[in-house]
Amino acid sequence: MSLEADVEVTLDPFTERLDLRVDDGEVVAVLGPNGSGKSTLLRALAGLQPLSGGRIVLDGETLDDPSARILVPPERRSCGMVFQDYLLFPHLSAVANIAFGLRCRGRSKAEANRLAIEWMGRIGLAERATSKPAQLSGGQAQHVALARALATEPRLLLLDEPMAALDVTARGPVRHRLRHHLETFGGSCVMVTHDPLDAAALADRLIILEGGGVAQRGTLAEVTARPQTAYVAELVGLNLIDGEAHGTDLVVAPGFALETASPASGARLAVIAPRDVALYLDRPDGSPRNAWPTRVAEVHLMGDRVRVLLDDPVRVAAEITARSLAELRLTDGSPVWASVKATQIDSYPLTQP
Amino acid sequence: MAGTITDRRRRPAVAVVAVATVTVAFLALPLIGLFTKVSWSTLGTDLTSPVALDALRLSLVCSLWATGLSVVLGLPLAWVLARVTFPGRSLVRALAILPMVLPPVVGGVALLLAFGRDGILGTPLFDWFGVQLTFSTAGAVMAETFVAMPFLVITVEAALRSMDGRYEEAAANLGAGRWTTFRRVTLPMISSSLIAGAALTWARALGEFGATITFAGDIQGRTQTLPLAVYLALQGNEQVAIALSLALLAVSLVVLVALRGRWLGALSP
Amino acid sequence: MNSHHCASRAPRPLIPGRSPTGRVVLGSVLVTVALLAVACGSSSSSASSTTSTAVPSLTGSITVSAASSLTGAFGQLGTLFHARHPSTTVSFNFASSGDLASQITAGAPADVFASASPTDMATVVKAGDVTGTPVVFARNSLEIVVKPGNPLGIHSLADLTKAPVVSLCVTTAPCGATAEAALHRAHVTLPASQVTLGQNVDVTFAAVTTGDAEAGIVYVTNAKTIGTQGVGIPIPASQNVTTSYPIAVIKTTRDAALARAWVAYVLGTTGQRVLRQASFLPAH
Repeated sequence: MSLEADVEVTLDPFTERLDLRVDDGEVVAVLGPNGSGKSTLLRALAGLQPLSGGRIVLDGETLDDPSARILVPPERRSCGMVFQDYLLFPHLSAVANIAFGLRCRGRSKAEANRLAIEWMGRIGLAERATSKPAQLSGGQAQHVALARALATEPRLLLLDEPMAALDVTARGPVRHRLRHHLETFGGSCVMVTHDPLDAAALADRLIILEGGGVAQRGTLAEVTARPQTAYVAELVGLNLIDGEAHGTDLVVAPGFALETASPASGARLAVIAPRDVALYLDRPDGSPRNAWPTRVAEVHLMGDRVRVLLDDPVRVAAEITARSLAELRLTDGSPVWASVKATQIDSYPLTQP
Repeated sequence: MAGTITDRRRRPAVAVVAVATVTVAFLALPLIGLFTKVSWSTLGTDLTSPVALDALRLSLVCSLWATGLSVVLGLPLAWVLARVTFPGRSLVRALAILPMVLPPVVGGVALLLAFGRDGILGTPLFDWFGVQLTFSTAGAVMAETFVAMPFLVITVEAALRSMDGRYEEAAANLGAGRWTTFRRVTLPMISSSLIAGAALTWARALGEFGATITFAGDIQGRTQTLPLAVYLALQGNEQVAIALSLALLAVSLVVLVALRGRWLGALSP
Repeated sequence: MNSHHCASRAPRPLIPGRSPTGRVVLGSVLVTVALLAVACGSSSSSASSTTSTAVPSLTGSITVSAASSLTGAFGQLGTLFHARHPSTTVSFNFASSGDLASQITAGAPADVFASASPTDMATVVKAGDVTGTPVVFARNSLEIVVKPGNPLGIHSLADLTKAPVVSLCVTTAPCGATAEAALHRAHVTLPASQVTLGQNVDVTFAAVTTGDAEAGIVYVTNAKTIGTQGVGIPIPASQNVTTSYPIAVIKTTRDAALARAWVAYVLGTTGQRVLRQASFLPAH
């Protein structure tokens, strides 16, 4: 039993097209920059946004199929959603919020209440049962929202940026508890986030969404080892370079090639860790096969490390110590030599997502 | 001691306060006049005479009916105006608010032309069903509803607009159908605006004169509401007119005080 | 009493708001009228009609508070009066005599009061607001009005009980007081739930002509104007009630001369002719 979705949504002027499959017990994280269509995907799965094409099938039941004129409204889908700002009903207590879904699906008031109180205990907020949402802290509200979504035992759980509404210090413990609940959840779970830490802690697989389509998919390890787009590379803090391979040479710009470790041919991508980029005032001697003159575009101080952005002929970020920066006396526009060992550049092919 | 500021809060400008005081006097004096001119000794008998009792009863019954109708008819309209985009929406909204800016007598004449015996709808109503709305209590209710309903529509529409529509999505996601969502999520969330709107509507309906007298006529016990009775009593029975006016004033004051700060909150978008 | 007023003024060349051509035309007309008037002769308020060469010129403006039933007749008279005395302004305030009496005793500005009942005039006299003695200038009686074709077959006051809604004036208006008296004479009682009240006779009349009231009691002078909007049913003299219309100058008038001139005009030939044409009964 699983979720199989072939999503095509046209919201002028934007068309989104992607497919995903999530098995029972699996958590798939969907990452992407703002405007890439992550929320649209969740809304389509929840039934709040009808498809323009494609199909959504959950555990064998077709939820949305425009060509067959099937559209199951949101209230009849077995789907629980935790919204980005929770949307707990302000006029109902925490317990009543959780009981809401149960009552809608046929339970008696007494039974719904009983189950809701059980859930309050499960999320460790038994004593806040009668509190109104306005009286709860961000983390507490998130737990109640999760309980509200899980109480009806949905087969599909959707999380929309679960940590976004919390401040950074609160996220750790909340993420920990969320992980615990997700482990005990038996259905499919799709989580939208822009924070790779969420993906790392909670997800089994990732899907990178960019410009309305899938840019890359795989496990976290696969994606971070071989990012296919600049966005992903930036997400994991790596430099991404693309070019044409001729043997061990990788032509990345007209008249500029980098030497890589292994020979290859055709269009290739390569990642270079910023800390593998060394900077010199003059052309360096020694073993590095790749050394080129370039110019400093920006300098960013990050504690006692410094990120130096270089452009011309290729945009690359180098990471050096603050002390080195002072010694080299680098500022915007300073000419500098950059070098990378060939063994540190491993190219790989572009893959279809 | 001159020159020292004992209260460090910023004081309001004297000129502004002065003008405000004059305004309060302007508003309060007519009401104070009522109080001083009333014949307290005969107040009891004045208010329990058949004319007065009929007028009081009619006013209560008609205004409550008018408020109820305004809510039942106005709520769906407010919902459509707030939630549905359709061509001509601003025209419909203007139409819904029109009775508020129309002189009430004009409203009465318009109602006559539509629902009078020779009116567009009135003719078939009478010819086929024998129903006559003019000179009836139902007619008085209609006149009051016509002028008062815009207050409800405006207030509720504003409340629905300012309410986050995503709560309704959350309810649907949890399994609530449209009616359940409306009943258990939307209505409770706009309840204070709805109450304020209904109170405004009721007050307007209670005070309606021009449309009532034009469409429903002035029939004691059937259409002679409080304002009409006051108008009648002014000529020859000023004492009763003042007593009835006082009754109207008292009721309005009670409602206003009960609602207190809700007015501004409900009326602002 | 018969008094002849043919006085008029020589036209002034400056008539505000008119075109030069208009001025010339009006000027010539007025000159002609003036010459004719001088030829007719003039007289003071005494009864004899003599020719006189001295013509006092009338100016000023007054407000005439008159009963609603006088709207048509006084409106007409006002136009004729203005043609005669173009430098005067006579404005009218039409309402029920009861309302007018209240207004005047409360100090509302008025120069002349023409009431549809002696009772309301007496109120004003008693309050000391009248100069001289009021004079009756006309009388009126009542008539039933019904919808076109008389669908309910109403032929008498007694038949009024057949009508679901009857339009009557409030009893504080003369038309209401007299209607009540007439119904009493005819031994007819109409329950309050069957009666819609109008503040003055115009409102009462309109309830039948343009509203949905099936019948109403108004003055003969109203019924005469009903045209195609309804039918008038006369009331026999044994049941009908007549009301007298007194007219008087108000003490606080701003222009006593003009006020007296208006009263004389109403009582004079032109006034009486217009009133007769409107179906008012003579004063005696």
